[in-house]
Amino acid sequence: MDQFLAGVERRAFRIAHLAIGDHDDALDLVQDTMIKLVERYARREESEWAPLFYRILHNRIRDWHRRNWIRRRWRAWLSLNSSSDLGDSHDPLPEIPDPAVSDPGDKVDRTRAMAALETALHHLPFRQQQAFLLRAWEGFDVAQTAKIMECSEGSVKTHYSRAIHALRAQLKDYWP
Amino acid sequence: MKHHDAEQTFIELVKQHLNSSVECLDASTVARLQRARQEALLVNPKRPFWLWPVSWAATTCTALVVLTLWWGSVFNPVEIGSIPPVEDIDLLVSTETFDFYEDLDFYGWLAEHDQAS
Repeated sequence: MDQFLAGVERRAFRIAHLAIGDHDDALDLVQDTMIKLVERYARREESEWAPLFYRILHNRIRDWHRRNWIRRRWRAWLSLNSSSDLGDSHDPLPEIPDPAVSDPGDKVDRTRAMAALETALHHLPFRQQQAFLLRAWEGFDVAQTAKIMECSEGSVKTHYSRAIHALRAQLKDYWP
Repeated sequence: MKHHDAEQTFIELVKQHLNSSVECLDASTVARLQRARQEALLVNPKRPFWLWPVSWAATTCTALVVLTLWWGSVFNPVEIGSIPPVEDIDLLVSTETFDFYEDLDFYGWLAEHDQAS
């Protein structure tokens, strides 16, 4: 279990961070996911851990969005919100060093591309974003992704296709 | 076909960028993730749902056995006579061999015979 969690924790954090845009909350979600997996599914077959882990994470992210939506509604109702509270001005630009790149120009291009990618991913509709990350990055097939997202396989295909089209359109300046 | 290739290339580029972003996570975040993992591993796994009936059955059986024994002890108390007399303790703690006890009747008869003669 330790090895499994060590292998997925960073990628899970990136998925959570891309989904919610908050560093600390993303860490909390990953920790909650780890605890739930150990508590409930440690006795299961090892091959089941990955889909179960991502299913828990997916549900945690969805719950976070719901809670956040309700919180924002309350704030709006109480007139305590400002435009910055709504997340419209949230800038998820990463501050990620890349020591492998030595050419400053290349580094700037890569950083810009990464920033654009993160922004594009962050602004995708939740289900499109999850379908894309689970299918394209984590390598789950359509059936596994459908189980993780608790939806039909056809729905996964649709979300995935729309996500790719949206991302390509937004990132055409970097990756035509 | 060309569209599919372009799509695959695009996906590969996205994967490369995401992978590099994972490798370049800052030390503080990596440390917090490791700490979170260690804390998660300390959690005791819960018993799976399908084992609950087995647990209930085992608990019920144990309770029934205890209840039966208690019931028997209350309504059928052990008779005093059934308790071994205290003098039998001598037999248990003596160092005589078993052959001696087997021939005890013979020694008794021999003693009576000597007294009679």
